[in-house]
Amino acid sequence: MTTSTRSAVAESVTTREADTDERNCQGFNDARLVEMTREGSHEAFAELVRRYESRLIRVISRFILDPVMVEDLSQEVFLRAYRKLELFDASRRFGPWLFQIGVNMTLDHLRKTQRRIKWTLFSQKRSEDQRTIDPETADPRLSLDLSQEVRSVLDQIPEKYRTVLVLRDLENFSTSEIAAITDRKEATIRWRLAEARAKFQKLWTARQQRDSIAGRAEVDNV
Amino acid sequence: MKCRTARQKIRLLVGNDLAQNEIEPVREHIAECDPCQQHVEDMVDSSDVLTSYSGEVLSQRKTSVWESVVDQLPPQLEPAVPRGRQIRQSILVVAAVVAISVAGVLPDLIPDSVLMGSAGVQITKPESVELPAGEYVRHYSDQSWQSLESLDGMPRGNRRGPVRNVVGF
Repeated sequence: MTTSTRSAVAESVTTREADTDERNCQGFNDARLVEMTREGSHEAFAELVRRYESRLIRVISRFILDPVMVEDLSQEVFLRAYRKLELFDASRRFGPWLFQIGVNMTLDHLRKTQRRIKWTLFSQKRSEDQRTIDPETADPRLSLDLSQEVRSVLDQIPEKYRTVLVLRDLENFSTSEIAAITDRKEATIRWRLAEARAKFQKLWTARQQRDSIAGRAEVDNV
Repeated sequence: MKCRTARQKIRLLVGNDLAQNEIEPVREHIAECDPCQQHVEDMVDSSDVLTSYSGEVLSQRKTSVWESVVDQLPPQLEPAVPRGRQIRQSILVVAAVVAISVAGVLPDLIPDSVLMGSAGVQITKPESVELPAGEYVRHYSDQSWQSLESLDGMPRGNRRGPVRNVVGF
């Protein structure tokens, strides 16, 4: 057997072993995978990442628009989860614990960004004041599609209500899961959910009314 | 049921988040209350908006983030000591160090009168015993008399025993 053939065979064996590891991990539940990760199995943690990454990315995307930032954050979330895995209480479910880390990191990121934006706006206020308004783009809502409109309304809802609304109505987590993710009682979550829906409904209706008035005014002008 | 209460429950009802036993009373109220019926319609409309938005296709990755995560994994996990417990342990260690330090220095800081005061007795020379004039204490073990002057040369740790255990007159 030549050297190149030997190395090709060795590589193929390694790949098969990795595939076997991956297949082996797929059969385990989260608790077992956590246990295996604690014992040093990277493949077990890889399986946990694969199980939760798309939903985690979806949840983060509900709060953050920039896809690059979403990806960076999702990686950070998994890294933090890995580092803190010894602290994870095995009697709890892994999913809500992971999403708790994810939501907390996302909201922290948003708060930091907002503080930065406020500071930037404050420092640029004078130049903003002097800027003239282009009548064609005076109302940016005119060019928004439905998802942008919804996002814009959601952004006006205070964080603690918005978080519950996003997790329940957009990502379909149960109220008990949201309670675990946000570390609040389920009764609190239900109350916040009712308030959040009321706030969204009021803001959405007000926006629709403003849009219809603006639309009528445009027709009258034509 | 008051409209205020009913509306709070209606907001949960539209998302199937109301407990089973709460549904019927709310439905009864809605059937009799026009403004609350309107509230149901408003809530259903805005709920539909959210539902349609929830189905929006968000950015999808073709590869797993694992490829990026695996390169950054630390060599080992952090020890399983919760942060709160770490802080408590640190406080206990500091408290122990302070207590030991204070215990070592304390006898030298406390005057004799205080140490003797712990027995509640000020000792004077007994009339029936022939001893030079002065102040004495009685040793707790052999009941012998010891002058306070003779105790001055002793380490304080040794003196505290007999002085504390003196039997007063």
